[in-house]
Amino acid sequence: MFKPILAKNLREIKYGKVVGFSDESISKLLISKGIIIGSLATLVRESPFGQTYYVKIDGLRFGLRKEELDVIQVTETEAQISS
Amino acid sequence: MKKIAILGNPNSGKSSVFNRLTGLAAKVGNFPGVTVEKKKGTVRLPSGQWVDVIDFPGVYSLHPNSKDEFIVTNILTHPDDADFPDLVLYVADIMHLEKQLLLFTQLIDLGLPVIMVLTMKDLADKDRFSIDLNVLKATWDIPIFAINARNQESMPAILQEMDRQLAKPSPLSQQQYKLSYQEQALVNELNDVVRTNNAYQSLLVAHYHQQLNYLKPGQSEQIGQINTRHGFNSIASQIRETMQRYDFFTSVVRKSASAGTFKVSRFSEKADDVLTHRWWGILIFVIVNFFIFQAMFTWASYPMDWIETVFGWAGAQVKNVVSSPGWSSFISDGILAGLGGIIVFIPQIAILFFLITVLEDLGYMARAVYLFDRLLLKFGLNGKSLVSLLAGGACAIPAIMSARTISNQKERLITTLVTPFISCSARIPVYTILVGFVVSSSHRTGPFNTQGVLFMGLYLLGIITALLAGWILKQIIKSEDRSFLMIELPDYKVPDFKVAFQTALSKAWSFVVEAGKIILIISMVLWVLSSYGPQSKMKASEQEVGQIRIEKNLTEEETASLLANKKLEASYAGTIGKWMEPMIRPLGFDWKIGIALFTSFAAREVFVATMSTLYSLGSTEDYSTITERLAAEKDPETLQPRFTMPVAISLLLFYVFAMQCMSTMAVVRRETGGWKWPLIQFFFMCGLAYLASLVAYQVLS
Repeated sequence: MFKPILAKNLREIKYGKVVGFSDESISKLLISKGIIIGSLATLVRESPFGQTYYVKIDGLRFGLRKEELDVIQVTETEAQISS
Repeated sequence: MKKIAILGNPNSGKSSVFNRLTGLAAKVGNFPGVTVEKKKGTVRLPSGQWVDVIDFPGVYSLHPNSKDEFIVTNILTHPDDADFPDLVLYVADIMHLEKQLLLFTQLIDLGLPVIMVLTMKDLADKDRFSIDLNVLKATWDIPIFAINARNQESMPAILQEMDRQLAKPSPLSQQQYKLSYQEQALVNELNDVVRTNNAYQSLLVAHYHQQLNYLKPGQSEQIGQINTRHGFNSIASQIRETMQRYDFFTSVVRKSASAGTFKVSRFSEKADDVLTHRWWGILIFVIVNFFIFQAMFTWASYPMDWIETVFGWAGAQVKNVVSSPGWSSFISDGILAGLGGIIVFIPQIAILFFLITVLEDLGYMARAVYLFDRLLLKFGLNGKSLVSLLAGGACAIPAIMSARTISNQKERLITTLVTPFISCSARIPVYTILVGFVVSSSHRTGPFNTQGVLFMGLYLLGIITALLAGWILKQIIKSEDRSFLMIELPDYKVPDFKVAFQTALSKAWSFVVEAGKIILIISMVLWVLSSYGPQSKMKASEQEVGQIRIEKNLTEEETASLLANKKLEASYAGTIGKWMEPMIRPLGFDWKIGIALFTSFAAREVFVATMSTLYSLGSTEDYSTITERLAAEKDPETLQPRFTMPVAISLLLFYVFAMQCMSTMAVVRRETGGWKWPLIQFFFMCGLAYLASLVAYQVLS
């Protein structure tokens, strides 16, 4: 059955595939560091003082602020949807 | 001499490769006109040709995000630059190759000859991961080496290849990035304004014309107009370019990789479960720092003792050899004392930076930045300010220079302004003496020695004030500049101690260069001010001492030190101290302390030397003796002890807060590009110091 792809926030679904970015100037920096469309992203944990996140992306790890993380739009992967 | 640039992403193993190539002969300087550290070494190639090897700052892309990243774009788009390379050694981590080729393809587009060096081969072998170099070579037609950056194995082959590449004419630029029609039209028009070697270079000029320092006046405006005419959107163009490059090289890397291109370090993930844990992470950070400072103070105490002994001995020799008393005093008390005052800090700075670099190379500092970013953000700082704040515990000068990696201008400025609040090691001798007047050495608070607790309190006070000052500055300074963290947390790896050693040496050297000349000059000026005074006053002091000598039947030694004391009182420094007295009286300070405060501007530790001269019968560096002498000092009017608990506390607070280091001010001036900020910093810190001392003294006495 057809299922529309809805962009979500990584904070909601913890794990997903990057499908886009919502802010140009932040996305420019993210993609130069290898966070690109098609990357698989996992939110691992929040920092002790909050609002900073430990995120795994394609075998790399990043510390991202909430504002930076929220720019990354993800969807659930096929594996997630089928389960 | 031909130049070879080492370029690559941060954490690619670039520094190790540079170190293997140049050994300890590398020199650290600055890129001209900017305060970004440049490591340079000279290497002899097998052909006998000598070449300069320059280690550039690690960057992800030629689209820069911070001051030190910008230098790379500035130089590589300007073939006439003195540092423009004839050949690039591109260093990338074999385990993360798929994410490290963006900059590489940009360099190819600039038409630069490139040798690729893939590091971490040992880790890849262990993981049974391999990259088929032939696939990469076939794609880009460049020499590629896979090495283990820690051993010299492949170095001879790389050096030979450098010879070969330098002898060949530069390759014709084989553009990886296909410019859009709009970009192509823009670049065509741009070529009438600036001469460039190729289209990609022109495109970068279009992006960064406002910051490129080699453009002539008027050129930037012209380029701006061309950009507007073509409706050039810099950010959109960068995104398009980056995505196009990724699309291309990702498929190449996937073709070349043995299995799955993303190598996940399970060890790093496991370690991070603890090291970045909500509670454990913070606790471990505190423990790590405790050990760093313990090590810094314990290890450094030995070389510091040797340095003091050597300078003490040299001073005594000068006094024996040089017959003219004026010159012998100038050399020993002016020049040698100044030099000693600089060199004595080298061990602490070197040890602290050695440890910080080891932690950085290990991958831990990035985690610490991640842990504390949000907290520091509240105080106008950035996670990356942590390195500056830590280094400030040794000396504010290299600490302030470490702030260059912070991309946000406002956060970098605030870091620069508040770092001097962190108690540097020059305050330790001052604290050591004064704490003795506040509580006795045997006093205990619970299981702890109260003097130790007080010491800790002074440090904490400095840290808290730095944060509060940051918060205030955050409210005052306005900036449109967006702030980012976006930090890569690299795989943990065994640190390269050679690189750490080299970094420690270079930081110590930059301290000697930055602080050294100023401390030395001020030390000499202070010597003049405290050795000379109005003729009549100086004569009168000599006569007075002559009389006292007869009246009290003083020995020769006692007379000499009394004379030194009286002469200092009559000198210009003494005059300044007395002139300051009405202002500092409310803080509990007399003119003698005034002189000590004044001389502290060379460097705070000069306080001890000045106090020992002022209150001495013969000078000494022995703290317990100085403390005893200060304790014996009586106020001539009230005959009460001069150094009471309120005076000591007032003076301690003054030293915690006041901006008393001219070298730091000079560095702040250079980093902020003018006198405005160092002056604001000076008046803010000294004003706060005055206020704190005033309140403390008035309440306590």
